[in-house]
Amino acid sequence: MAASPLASTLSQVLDQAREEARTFTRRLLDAHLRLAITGLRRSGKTVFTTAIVHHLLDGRGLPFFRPVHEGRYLGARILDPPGPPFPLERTLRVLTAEPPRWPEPTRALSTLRLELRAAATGMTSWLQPIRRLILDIVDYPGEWLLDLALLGLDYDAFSALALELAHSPGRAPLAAPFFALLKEMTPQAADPLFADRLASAFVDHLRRAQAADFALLLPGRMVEQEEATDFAPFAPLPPNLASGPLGEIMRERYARYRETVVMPFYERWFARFDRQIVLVDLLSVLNRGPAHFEDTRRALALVLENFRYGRTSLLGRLFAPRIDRVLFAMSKADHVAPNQHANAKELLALLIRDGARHARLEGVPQEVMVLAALRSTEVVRIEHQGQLLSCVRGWLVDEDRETVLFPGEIPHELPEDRDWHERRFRFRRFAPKRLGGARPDSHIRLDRALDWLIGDHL
Amino acid sequence: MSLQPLEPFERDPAAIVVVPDTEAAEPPEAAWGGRPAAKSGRSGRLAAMAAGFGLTGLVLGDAARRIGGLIAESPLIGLPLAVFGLLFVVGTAALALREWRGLRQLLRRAGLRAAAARLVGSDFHGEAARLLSQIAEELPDLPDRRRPLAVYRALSRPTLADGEQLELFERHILRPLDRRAYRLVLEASRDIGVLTALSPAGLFAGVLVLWRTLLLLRTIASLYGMSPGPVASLALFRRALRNAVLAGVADVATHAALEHMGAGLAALLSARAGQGAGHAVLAARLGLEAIRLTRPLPFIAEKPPSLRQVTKSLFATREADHRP
Repeated sequence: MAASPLASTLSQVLDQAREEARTFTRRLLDAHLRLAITGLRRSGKTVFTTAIVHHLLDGRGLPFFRPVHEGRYLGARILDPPGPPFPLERTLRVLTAEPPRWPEPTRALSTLRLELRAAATGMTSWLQPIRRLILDIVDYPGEWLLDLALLGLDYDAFSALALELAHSPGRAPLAAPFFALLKEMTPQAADPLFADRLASAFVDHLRRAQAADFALLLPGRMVEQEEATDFAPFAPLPPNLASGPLGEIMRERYARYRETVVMPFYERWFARFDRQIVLVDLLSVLNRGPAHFEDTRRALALVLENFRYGRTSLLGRLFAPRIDRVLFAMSKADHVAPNQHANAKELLALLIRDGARHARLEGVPQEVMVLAALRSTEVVRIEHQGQLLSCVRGWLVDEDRETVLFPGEIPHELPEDRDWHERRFRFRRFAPKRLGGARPDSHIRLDRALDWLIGDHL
Repeated sequence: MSLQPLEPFERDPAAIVVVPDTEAAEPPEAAWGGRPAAKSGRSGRLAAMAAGFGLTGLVLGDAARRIGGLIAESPLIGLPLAVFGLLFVVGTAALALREWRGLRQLLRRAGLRAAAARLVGSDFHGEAARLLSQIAEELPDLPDRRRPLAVYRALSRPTLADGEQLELFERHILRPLDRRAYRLVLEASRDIGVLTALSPAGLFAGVLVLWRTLLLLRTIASLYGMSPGPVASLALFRRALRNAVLAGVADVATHAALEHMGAGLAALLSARAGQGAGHAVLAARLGLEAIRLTRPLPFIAEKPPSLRQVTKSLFATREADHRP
């Protein structure tokens, strides 16, 4: 006999209450961490998540992860996730296939919960010989992250920012149809169809900007076709139009988007993190030039403003958690030779300087790192024009062939505009190496990242 | 004028000649950033050495001349004396050479440590491999060191920055040595405490303490691959003492005060026992300084053993507490 709807609802509520009580207890015991794997589109969040889970489950190949090198690490297991499950099997399958492939970009939010165990040390080890840590990880499309910037903007501020971006040199040609349509509008226009047309033109411009690899796309979820049906689309308006009836329509749609799309996402997931890693695909940014560097810098600064940073007390951990440790990491470090990592680190520090300010002001410890969750190349030294150069050898994804590449020299500071010509950098996409046994040479500094993020809790 | 950055290029993997990374095999001097800085009194020391050699030469020449005369006058007395003199000169020279090498080792070790200190936390590549290869050669080839060395080599990879290489080396190669050195300090401190407490006379206790401390310093130095003779051991002792006084006055004062509080009760019962506790703490301090002076790397990720740990372990009864 099927259960009644009331009984089913009651059961769900009870399950949820039980889960909340468990989480509360774990957090009371300081044995629960929520890790924010933050990054814009194509920054490598999914691969990073898959790689850390793979290595933590295996327990090998992490020589710089304290519990492992101290011989205390006992292992990990996957628990029921706190939300939609992360497609771990699928991502592992493609990364361990022969030949391996990169996983598909993330299209929806997913979660993962791990239980890590290590032999305890210190004064309380006799009381609790095994230290347990529940680690929650959330993966989501990078575009969704951008919407966090809307939390701090009312409609007028959003319009000013969106129009300024659309007018910027790299994007203005992409936004020409939108601006043409905007010119046709009058402040008295009150038809929702006008609003739809304008919003559609605006979204088209955002998609063109996305295709041109711009990072700062606001609102992020409107760029996705399938998501666009969940809410009424809107567009920014200049002040003269924003004050009229059309402005009222857009203002209302914007408010609804913030309330029904952005806020739930933020409150359910993003307002409760304890630790954060911000992954940045610096090499792609360098490939695209100074306009994209500035675009990414600004996107990160806007997004990171909306996370809650600061040191917390026990009560704070329970009721108003804050991120108390941040790692800024350049992903895909294996796409350049290791002797360029020092400069890459300095350049990354420059890129995230504004984004990191908020956390820095709260006194949150920060670290900058250059890492690769899964290596796709090996380093070779060859002679070129009389000098020895370290290059990378790997399989090009786009051309399906092997190559030895010297992708250009990463500067330790932003190059002058005149130095940033089209032949300056050529970072290519390499296919991953097969994710086999958890070897230390299958990644670059994944263990150091883990140590920084969760090492002190084990 | 700044150099133009090199433009990107691609090569066919089948057509390239891979150049092996031979940096690790190259002599380390270039990578060290120089030997320890020359002291200001170096020229004076050279002059003193030259004078010493000159004087020794004169004495030896005069002795040879006199022995030659004696052989001519009375071969039965002169020849044995000549043989004895020759043996004496050769023995003294060998001893001096050994001590000179021991002293040089101390200086060289300080140079290695200074070079390593420069690379701690470095994000650059290329210098640590040569330095660590040099250090690995200097460490004693103990059978129980082979496995950590193999683990270290398996974990070491070209993607590690210099600072990371150092950290890995410290964890896998030096950590077991540090533990043994710590145990040596602990044992010696305990010995000294007991010897002092049991010795019948103060002077005798002093000699015992000095002998056991020197033995401790030599053992620690050997553990880290050095072989100091008596003079080099005294030099090590002098440096350890100086460091203990200069760097650890506050520490010594704090811990000595703590220990004296503990030892005060014991002193009521036995003045000798209180003196023993004091000597043990001093020996521990010198031993810890010797670890710092003979260790080829500064302490990076590993915590240096502290006087507090030693004193706590000294008066603890549980074996588990003896670990650093």
